[in-house]
Amino acid sequence: MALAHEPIEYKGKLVEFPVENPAEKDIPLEEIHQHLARPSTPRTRRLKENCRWKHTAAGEFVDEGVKAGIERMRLITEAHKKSVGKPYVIRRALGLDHILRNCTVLLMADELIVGYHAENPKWIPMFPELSYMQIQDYLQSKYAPEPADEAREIADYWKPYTLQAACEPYFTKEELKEAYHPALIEAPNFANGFNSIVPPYETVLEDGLLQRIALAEQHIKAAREKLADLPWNADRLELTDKIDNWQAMIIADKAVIAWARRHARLCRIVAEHFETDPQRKEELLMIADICQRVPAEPSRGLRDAMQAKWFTYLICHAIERYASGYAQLEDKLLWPYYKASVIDKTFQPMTHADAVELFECERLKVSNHGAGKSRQYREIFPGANDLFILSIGGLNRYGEDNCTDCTDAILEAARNVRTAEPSIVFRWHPKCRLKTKRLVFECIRDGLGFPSIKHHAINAAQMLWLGRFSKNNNGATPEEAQEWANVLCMSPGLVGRRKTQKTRSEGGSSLFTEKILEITLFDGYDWSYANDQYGPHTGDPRDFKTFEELWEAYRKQIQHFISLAIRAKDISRKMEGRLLQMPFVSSIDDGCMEYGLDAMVLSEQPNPWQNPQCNIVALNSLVAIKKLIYDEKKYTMDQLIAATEEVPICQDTGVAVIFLELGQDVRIEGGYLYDAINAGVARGYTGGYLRKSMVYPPVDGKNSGDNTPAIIHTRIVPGEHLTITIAPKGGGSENMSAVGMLTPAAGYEGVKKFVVEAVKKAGPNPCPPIVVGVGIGGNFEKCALLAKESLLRPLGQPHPREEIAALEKEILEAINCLGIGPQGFGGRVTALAVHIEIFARHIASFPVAVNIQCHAARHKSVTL
Amino acid sequence: MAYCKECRSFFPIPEDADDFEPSKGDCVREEQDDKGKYWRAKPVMGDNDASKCPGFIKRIGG
Repeated sequence: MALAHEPIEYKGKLVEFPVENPAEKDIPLEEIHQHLARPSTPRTRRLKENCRWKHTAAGEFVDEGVKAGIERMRLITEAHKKSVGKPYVIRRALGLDHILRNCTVLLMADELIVGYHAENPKWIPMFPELSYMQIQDYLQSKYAPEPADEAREIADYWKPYTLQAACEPYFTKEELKEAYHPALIEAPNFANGFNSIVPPYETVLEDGLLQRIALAEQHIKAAREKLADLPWNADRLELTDKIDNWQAMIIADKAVIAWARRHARLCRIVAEHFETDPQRKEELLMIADICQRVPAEPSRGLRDAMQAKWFTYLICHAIERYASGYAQLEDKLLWPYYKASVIDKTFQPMTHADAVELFECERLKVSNHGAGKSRQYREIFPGANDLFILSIGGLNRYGEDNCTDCTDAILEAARNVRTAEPSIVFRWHPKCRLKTKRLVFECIRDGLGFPSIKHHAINAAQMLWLGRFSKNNNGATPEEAQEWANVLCMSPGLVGRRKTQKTRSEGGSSLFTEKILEITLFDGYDWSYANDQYGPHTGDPRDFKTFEELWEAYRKQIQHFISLAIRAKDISRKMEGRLLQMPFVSSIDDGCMEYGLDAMVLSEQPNPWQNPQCNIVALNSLVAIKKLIYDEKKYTMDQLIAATEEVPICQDTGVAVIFLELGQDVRIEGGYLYDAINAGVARGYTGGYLRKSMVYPPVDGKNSGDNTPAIIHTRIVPGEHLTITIAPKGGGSENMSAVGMLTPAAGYEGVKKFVVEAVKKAGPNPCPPIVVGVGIGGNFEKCALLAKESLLRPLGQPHPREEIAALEKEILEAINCLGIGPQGFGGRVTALAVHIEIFARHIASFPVAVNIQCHAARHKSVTL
Repeated sequence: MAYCKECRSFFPIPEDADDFEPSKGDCVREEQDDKGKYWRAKPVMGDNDASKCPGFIKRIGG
């Protein structure tokens, strides 16, 4: 049922929190999400039902049919081969031109905003010019572009020309090893292809690209005249680079206009030759008219602005180059067009409800969008197709409330259509109007998970302060500092006609301070993940006499990794300026246009953002170490390090299962053997701080408090030795065990089917990847014991009988085709091994037992 | 031999278009997947050999 907070007393008043819609009280929680979803029109309801989501879970795309397309990689390769010898910025422009003039353009049913970035609405484009590792990642996956041979050939072609290949020579092998570790710093963008940008949408909407082309032409004309001035001055040589940059901008802008107009033509052809619904036909002709005009011309109404913004987004984030994010101050950007259409009704007249529908359509376009991120990034952003965050609210450049009815339309659309993307940042300021703040909190109350709320004034002050360090003394002005938006999830950046962030190497990255603290405790050695030396040698903390020595070691480690991260960013940026220019982005930035510089080169507003992640873990740990080891001396550093190394990897440390092999010549003296074993188990579980799991009586009993009794299996063997094997067994995997009395005719196929079914039924419950123990033969209890004993065999060691070893292999393959994957998140590794033990059976019986062991398959033997 | 320009899916690019080239056209096809209908346009030259194109449908009349 819907949850409402209990009334609370505040300043003598009782504040109640009633559910706004009383009907929600009777709706089960698992249904509340869909209940609250109410797309405002039949169109947006259909668009949501038919959305081609690109969500990921555990690194895999969730929906069927999502894969990488080959078209973009093919077209950019053709252009690269054809443009040899030309200035690199021109080659980049010609690459974009070739893509946009030859790519497939798509139109989906019902949509009001058109444009996609691949040849199929379920596919995503590839960027072979960025990182060869990322392309290899796709080629090896089930999402590989087809034809596979051609994709491999393209990847091979690009390898020497990639940003990654350009940057790697400036690092040693050791440094690259450290930089590519997934948990110390965010890997360099030249390795993972990850990127972020704040497109200067304002110039596209306000000027239109034809005006940008005219500006570039004027600059070229003036530069040529200056080149010809007498007498010659060698200082003017830099004009040649500028002319190339302006020329590249013109090529890029013309290509974008032609591409948008291809959409116009497609809409018109579909309206005139395919569509039978007269109302949709009219809509398509309207969209055709819009795409013919924008982004070539300035936007005049809200439909123009939304379409021009979407085209610009696709080029900046998904076609010229990949970039995550949906950075914009959307209500400020669109307010003039909302006003023209909804309030003044001077162009594309519409109601507020029409505007809300348009914003719902925008959200569904974003939900349909897919990013060709590397597997690592698909894993760390589970549930989403990418990071999409737009900003609203706060103050405008004049210090007035920026909230308008346009802000409300954006929030209403988010609340109505209930999609995870794009997320929203609300820039909090006391001046913001109450009506809009109420909508913000209604979105949060309804469980959207956004808007996140950021402090307008603090971030504006930060923009202003950072602007003081501008390389060309042209950082944020007080007015510009008010207009910031989140670049991705956390870092603010300027929006507007210039000074926005154009690439992630200009701002944004991460540092994992808790992992760095962990390796500091081991003199820079990463024992828990990579089992190798990753940081500098900063000493064995067991030799440190004071907390300050530990702090100094940690400081050196942090300095080492932050320098590596920022050096990688700076070298990326240098190389981006050499071979990954962005002429379209340059063309829409007033600064790049004015100076004739590429967007990868010009930096006006500094953004030193470097996310130190998991600081709380690191700081809490340091506080605890200072207090408990150095101040109160309750523990020693020896104890901390021993505990860190020996901590169990799961809270369920299991039942103590003991296998005894007792030589028939052995005589036990001084007490009962089983008592000694139980005493040992009690000591181990108590002294080692392992969880005690045994209860007695079994139905309604109490915990024994020391994990006894152990379960002991004894076998009398020849000789005078006693071998004790301990195999702790967790409850989660044990619960998934099965015994079946098959018919003798079931044969190998019957065994395979029974085992695979048991694993399939178990699903994620036994914490895969698992080891599967199988007992075949004997009787009811014997086959179960065989299954358990088989788990003691060294991992993956095949059964000595050839036919049983073959059966083990066959069952393992079948299990790994189930797709359960590690921890049940999907994937190809559900089981690590299948071990079978066999015994003779009765002619009328065919017992088979399955005993599943989680991935923490540990056992230890000692012979006395 | 069948040519792209003879196909029902071929729509010549108007002379005043930014991407106009003589004999160039848009191959416009209606497609359907489990999420619904969509239309795709891809530039082709009218003189391209279409005899192996699975989507080729000869235009009747002009």
